[in-house]
Amino acid sequence: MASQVKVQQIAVSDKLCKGCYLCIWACPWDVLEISEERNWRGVKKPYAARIDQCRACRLCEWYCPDFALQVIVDEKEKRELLEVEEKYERPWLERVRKRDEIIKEGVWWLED
Amino acid sequence: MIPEAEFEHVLAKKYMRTEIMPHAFCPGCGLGIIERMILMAFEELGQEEWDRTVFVSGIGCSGWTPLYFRRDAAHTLHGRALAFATALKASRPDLNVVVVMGDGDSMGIGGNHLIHAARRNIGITAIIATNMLYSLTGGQMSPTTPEGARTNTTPYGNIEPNFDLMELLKAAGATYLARWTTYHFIQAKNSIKKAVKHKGFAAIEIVFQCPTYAGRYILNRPDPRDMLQWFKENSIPLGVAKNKSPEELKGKIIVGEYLHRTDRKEYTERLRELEERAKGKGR
Ligand SMILES: Cc1ncc(C[n+]2csc(CCOP(=O)(O)OP(=O)(O)O)c2C)c(N)n1
Ligand code: SF4
Ligand code: SF4
Ligand code: SF4
Ligand SMILES: [Mg+2]
Repeated sequence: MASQVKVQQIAVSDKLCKGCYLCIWACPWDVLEISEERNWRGVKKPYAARIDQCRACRLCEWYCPDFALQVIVDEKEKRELLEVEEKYERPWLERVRKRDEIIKEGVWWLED
Repeated sequence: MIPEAEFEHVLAKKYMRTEIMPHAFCPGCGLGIIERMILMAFEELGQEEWDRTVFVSGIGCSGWTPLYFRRDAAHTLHGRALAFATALKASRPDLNVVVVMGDGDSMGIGGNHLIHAARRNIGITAIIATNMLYSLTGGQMSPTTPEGARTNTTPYGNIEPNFDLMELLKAAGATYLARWTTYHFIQAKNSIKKAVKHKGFAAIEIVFQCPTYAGRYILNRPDPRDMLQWFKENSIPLGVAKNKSPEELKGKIIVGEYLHRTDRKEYTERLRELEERAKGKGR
């Protein structure tokens, strides 16, 4: 049965997914399948085989222990993802990089 | 389409040290779900609450959970997380102190600190991640291992009865108590929200799946999906459990909000009052 909600993408991270398939267990609408091929981390990631059945209930997202999966419903959500990156992640990663440089130079105690 | 190579969840981008992820937990380990419960609770509580939160954890797989957050976190000695947190709360009562401990960490080696933190009713939120054994060290028996269960240190079956954390802490004087499993995602998140806002000692026990040890040794379910299914089928809400006999409840997890009382004074308030009194005496 096709869903009323149009879901754009169920993004599954190559970096984070460990292939536990709790997302598949959690999905009440039988949307996800295990892919045939292994990725560069040796994981057969899940993918949205029947995305038209997806109700965007996000149970798959909530039960994923590794923050590897996100249901992307619309453009607004995509923008939000980028905004969060801009606002929280970039500055943090810059700090980490700076810290690493300072540690390399051996004066780590000067920061903070 | 968002590229999937380096994709990270929006919650992780906002709150977690993504540069050290994926986390060190085994595939399917429930500790990641507990992390998400905590983060979603704080997402709903708002930035202000998050900004004045400090995490403290003990030793064990569960002790690693808050270390992935972009927040100050102290990874203390085994069993001593509450001792550290008590000092922290006493000196800075304005902070939200959230402690994450394992079952062995809190009820085994740290059992003494646990009952006294509850007795003092100090305003700490304790999140106790129960996997029914010691997992970091390879699957030894803990105070929550079910009777008869085989572990590394109980090859003939566990002969010891286990602690009921909720009864223990109720008697000791805690003022907010709840127990959930990783299956009860929304309920646990809501309890964490309440506990952070609560004035007094709040403890939430979350039974989580450890497929690697509890799954293989205790439940005979090495697949995390089977473990979650088991939690779903074997947890009974508090209200339903009231009308059942002890035989019917054997081997079940009784979940729900056990206690929420406001009639006991919080410890740091008592401390401040003492301070005022001592000052009044001209010292
Ligand atoms: C003082 C001390 N004793 C023993 C240990 C070894 N040790 C490390 S973790 C652990 C058990 C942890 O079990 P639990 O608290 O249930 O956490 P889990 O790993 O199950 O999440 C033990 C005994 C230690 N680190 N320090
Ligand atoms: S959002 Fe709901 S319906 Fe869609 S894939 Fe996830 S669990 Fe299935
Ligand atoms: S639950 Fe998460 S880590 Fe597990 S298979 Fe699904 S996306 Fe991958
Ligand atoms: S040993 Fe158990 S608790 Fe520890 S990371 Fe693995 S699954 Fe999780
Ligand atoms: Mg444990």
